[in-house]
Amino acid sequence: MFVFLTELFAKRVRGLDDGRLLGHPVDLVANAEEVYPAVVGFMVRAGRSPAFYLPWSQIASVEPGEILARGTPEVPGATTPPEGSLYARRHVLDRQIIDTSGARVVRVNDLHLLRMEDGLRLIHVDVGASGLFRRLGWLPAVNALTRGLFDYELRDHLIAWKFVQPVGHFGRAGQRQVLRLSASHQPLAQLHPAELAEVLEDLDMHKRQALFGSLTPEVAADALEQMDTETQVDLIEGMGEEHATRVVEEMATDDAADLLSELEDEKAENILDGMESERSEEVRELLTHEEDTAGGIMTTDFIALKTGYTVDQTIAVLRQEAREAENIYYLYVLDDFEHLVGVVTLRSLIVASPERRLADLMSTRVISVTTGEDKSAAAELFAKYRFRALPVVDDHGVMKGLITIDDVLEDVAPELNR
Amino acid sequence: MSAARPTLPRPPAAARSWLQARWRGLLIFLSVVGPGIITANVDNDAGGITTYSLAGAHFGQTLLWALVPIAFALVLVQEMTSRLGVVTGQGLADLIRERFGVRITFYLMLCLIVTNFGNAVAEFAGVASAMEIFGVSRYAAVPIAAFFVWWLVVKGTYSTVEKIFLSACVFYLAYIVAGVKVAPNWPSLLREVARPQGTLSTEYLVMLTALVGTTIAPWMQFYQQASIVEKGVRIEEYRYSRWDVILGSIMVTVVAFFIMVTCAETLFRSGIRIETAKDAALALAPIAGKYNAYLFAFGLLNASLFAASILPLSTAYTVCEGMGWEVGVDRKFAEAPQFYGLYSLIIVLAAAAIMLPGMPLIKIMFLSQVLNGLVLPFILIFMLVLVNDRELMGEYANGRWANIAGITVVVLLILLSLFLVASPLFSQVAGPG
Repeated sequence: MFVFLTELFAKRVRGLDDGRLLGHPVDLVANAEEVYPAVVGFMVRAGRSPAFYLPWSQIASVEPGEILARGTPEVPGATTPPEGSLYARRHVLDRQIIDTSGARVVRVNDLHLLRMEDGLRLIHVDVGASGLFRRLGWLPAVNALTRGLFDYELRDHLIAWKFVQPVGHFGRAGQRQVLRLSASHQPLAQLHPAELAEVLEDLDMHKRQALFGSLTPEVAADALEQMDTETQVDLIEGMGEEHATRVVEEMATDDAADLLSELEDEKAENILDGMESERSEEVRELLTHEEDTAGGIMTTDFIALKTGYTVDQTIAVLRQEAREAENIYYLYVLDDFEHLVGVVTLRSLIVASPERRLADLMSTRVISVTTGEDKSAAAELFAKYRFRALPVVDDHGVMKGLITIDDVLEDVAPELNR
Repeated sequence: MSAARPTLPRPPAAARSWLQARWRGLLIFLSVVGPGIITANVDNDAGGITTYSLAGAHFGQTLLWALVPIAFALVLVQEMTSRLGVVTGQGLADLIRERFGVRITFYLMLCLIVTNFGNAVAEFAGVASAMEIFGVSRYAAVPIAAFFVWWLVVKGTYSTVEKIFLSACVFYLAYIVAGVKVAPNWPSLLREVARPQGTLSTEYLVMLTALVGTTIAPWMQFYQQASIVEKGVRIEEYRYSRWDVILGSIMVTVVAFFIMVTCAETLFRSGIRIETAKDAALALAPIAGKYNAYLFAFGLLNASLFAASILPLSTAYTVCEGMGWEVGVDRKFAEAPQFYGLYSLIIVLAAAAIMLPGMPLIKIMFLSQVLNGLVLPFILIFMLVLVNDRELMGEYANGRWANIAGITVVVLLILLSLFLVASPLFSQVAGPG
């Protein structure tokens, strides 16, 4: 049987034996570690004295109007709630949460709990209008009205707890933290990086920073790539240099270079110094190009192949490098001096017999741009040829990087950039 | 540095770093400036200008002194809101909801919608009056103004809108020019400012209360905090934000001073009674010249448009924030229906109220001032509780002296508000605040 938190808070707490009034429940304590947290006790307040903890083990039964407590402790507050518990009112009720099923930030109007044999579990949060009116005490009246007028009843808008990421930040000002959930319950992991970025941008500055700081560097980097530069800079400047370095390291080199060029020189330099040397070399190289040129928007994460490779060898190389590369559909073939001499598509590679050499397979007419060309030139090529990626070479024909369609999306279709 | 090359004499290192620090400070100040100045200036809206005109026209220079304590109270209250915004990164409605629960928030938001709607009506009435002085019919002026306001917010971004608003602040100079043109006797004026006085007549007290009430309004707290949060001012930059607040408050007071002086020097001396800001502008023409009347009308138009742009936006923003609905002008209508619905509804209804013949405008405006007065005490108390919450504010919570000053001002404001609300019981003179 389901029960709303509002209904629980309306009850009184009495002693089972003597019927003495112990107070009113003011908060509910649950185990944050579980996917559907089990209630471990109530915070109960009598009059104006501070609230005390009433563990679930002392609760004999939950009746319609009251909660009966067994073996009333002589000293209320003899026990305290376990460290790291989830508090329904302090952490969730009336606070913002991220609804990862809908990828949006909403405010919680009520909590929905399931009464089972062994106790109470938090199952849903209510973010709808009916929850709002229930809190206000108007729900029966509003329902009667809408039923009478429109033959319609407000429906509960419930979100399962497994899709809920609380974002309230707790602790003292200046050192706030996000409520830690268990390793088994990571709702944010279900979000696409673009959704995560959008959700983070919806949060206020402090919550955004706190939540961002709690992400793993990989997830943080993916989300960061999707944000606008101003937000990126705010987030990176707001976090410790060590952590910031790990995040930037995980970003695609072109996004990392764009971000670093916006940071204060000293900070950017420190981050670069902290990065793995091979990676920071690539980023430094990218930083030397003008912002609006092909060189300024390209990435260096491309797969370079040699003319002498066989199809088999090539596929072996792909297996190793595909994870890091921006694009694996077009494979670029270089000669011994790194000049771009041909391109092979993944399709032609797969249908070819394993011993053929790339020199025979590749198309030698490669469309490319030079590093110094304006990025609008690259955009035009994308529009004309419908490529997914475009190689970038220097003035000598040496391959320097790769532009993918998302790098020029704003130039090809400006209306998409909200 | 090579010895052979002639070098310019350079200031010693200490002075150089002092200069650099000043320069850096100025840059940071310019980056955080905005919320305080804009909020304070919006405060000199149609209702405000009416009140200052009435005060000058009916009481001459005897109310000038009140501007000093009002400025002080304004700084004190606005400083608390911006501190709340900077430290928590949250809006005021958000904080009230999290701290005091949904029930209080809901009813507070209802009251805020009603009082802000009344204020919005007053702003469109201001547009209509000002344009009528220029000979433009209200049936043309008000729809255009309403559309302009709606378009500005829906199509603009926060930073462009802020720049437009900051430029609008400059046009308040119109009132200063008008004030200087009537050439008052400055030494005696300044003596009046420094000399608290007054009669204990109900009319005088109502006017005094209206002056305070129009300067410190509920919506300002929400608006200022929201724009501080939107701007993303950091704690390290906070002391510059404080200057933003102080500068804004001084600007408002100076403008109010010149409006009162203009009306005192002209209308009061000639013994002309007025009821609205439009009356003031029209009555100025024969005494102080046509251009002074136009300056007054232009000032009123600017102020009304300015406030009409901000009030509906601030209301929609605050209510959606408190109730947890999607907020923001960068969303599509379907993503934030409550936000756009409320925003558009306030503009359309307020503009319509002006165009419908026979609407008791003066009554609506006065009622909105009364509601302002009723809502303000609650908001001030909530603010004091929040700004004293050590878990929320940490080291930025109010200290003892800040609390003594804050509580004194809040108690005085509450008493004045209650007096304003109750004043119709004492007399019938109460005009729109």
